Amino acid sequence: MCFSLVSDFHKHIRLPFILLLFFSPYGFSLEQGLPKVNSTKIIIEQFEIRPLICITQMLGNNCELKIKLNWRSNINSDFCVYQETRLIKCWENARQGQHKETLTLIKNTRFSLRLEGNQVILAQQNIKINYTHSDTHRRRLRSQWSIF
Amino acid sequence: MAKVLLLIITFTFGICYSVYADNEVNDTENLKIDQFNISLSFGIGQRDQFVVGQDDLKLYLAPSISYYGAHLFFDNGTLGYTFKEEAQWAFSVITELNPYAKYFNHNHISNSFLEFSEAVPSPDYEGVLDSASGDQVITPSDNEYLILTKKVTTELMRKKRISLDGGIQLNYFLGANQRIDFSLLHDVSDLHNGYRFDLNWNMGFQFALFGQQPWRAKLGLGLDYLDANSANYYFGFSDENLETSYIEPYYPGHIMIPAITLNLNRKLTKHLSLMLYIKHQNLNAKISKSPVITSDQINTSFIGLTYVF
Repeated sequence: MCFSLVSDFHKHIRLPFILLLFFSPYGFSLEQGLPKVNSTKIIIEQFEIRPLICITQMLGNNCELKIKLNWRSNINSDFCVYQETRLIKCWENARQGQHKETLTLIKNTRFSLRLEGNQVILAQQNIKINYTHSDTHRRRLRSQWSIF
Repeated sequence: MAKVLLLIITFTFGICYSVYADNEVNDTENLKIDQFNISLSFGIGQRDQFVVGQDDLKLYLAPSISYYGAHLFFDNGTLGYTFKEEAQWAFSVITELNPYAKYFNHNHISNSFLEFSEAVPSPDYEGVLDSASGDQVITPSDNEYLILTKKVTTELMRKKRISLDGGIQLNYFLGANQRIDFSLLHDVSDLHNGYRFDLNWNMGFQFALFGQQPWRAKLGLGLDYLDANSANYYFGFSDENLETSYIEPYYPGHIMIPAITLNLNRKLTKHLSLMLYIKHQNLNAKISKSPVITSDQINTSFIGLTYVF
């Protein structure tokens, strides 16, 4: 009985669910994948950030580092590099670029290469933060003078 | 008091300041794991009393005791366990004695820490209580009425007990120098069954003044919310336990208490530092109208030397 109910349930919701996926603005398309420019599929041949590790003392401390990034694509287009959701730099009608910047990070951070105005990530790299004192120190979690 | 505080803040911000350098461990905010941190401050300070029948508390000694393990911590009366700590936030469960109880009950652990401090009787109140009797017939005239009112309220305030609160705490770190703390606690001792939540923002900075050694400062803005059960228990008044009834019962309902704190610290030697602490809490009309409350603010200040053991 239970099995029959579950089976019927699946039967009744399967078709509307599939239709919803295809016709919904948030649905997927089999055509979706890497974006194309003039029917040429974009291939990111290089997306490199150096360094990929930032070292600071304590969890929560700011980690400052100078990064150098290089990217190269197979075709010309408008490319942008983002730090998480923050735009770092855009290049117009370019197939390669490089950029240097001093950053202050507080957590592991993702950098991505996208087409301008497009959310699809073409390539990405993560900068990881390592801590020298994480095993020996902790941040105070209460006010020191709560006694007053 | 508020003007003095404003002056100090303006003065400190007027000086060219900088946040703590990232490459140095701030030893009051970053503590060694599995080690007791004990310090003793000695100097002079005062907590202005705002409760009927009580007097200003002179402060001469203020100890600070904390211990942080990998997860467990104890910090000046608060016991906690941190379940998760990330770069930008930490989530803990905590338990502590209700901090507002310390204003009403001298057995509070904070007052035990400050046991060498001294309550100074106010001149207009000293010696009056002993002459008044709780069961005397009152002709509600002038001074006698005032005396008995004070006696009744004082007796009732002595019956305010300390609740043990337990709950959750979320710390959100905005870099190494700013932090927002949020805690939600409930009376787990079944005394008043109230809730309270505390929201605090703290910012640390440092500046140079009178020499090379930097002054470290910490500015805090806070907002405490007490639900009706908590607020009515500590700030309310009911003389139902007394046979005489001269004062109308009063229940403030839920209340909010904003606060501003400033802590200045300057290292003199490896173990010794100069410190100044100022705290101002504002009591709104719902609280100050209570017959057991005599002021619309709570001011605490302390200046002295801190010795770190």
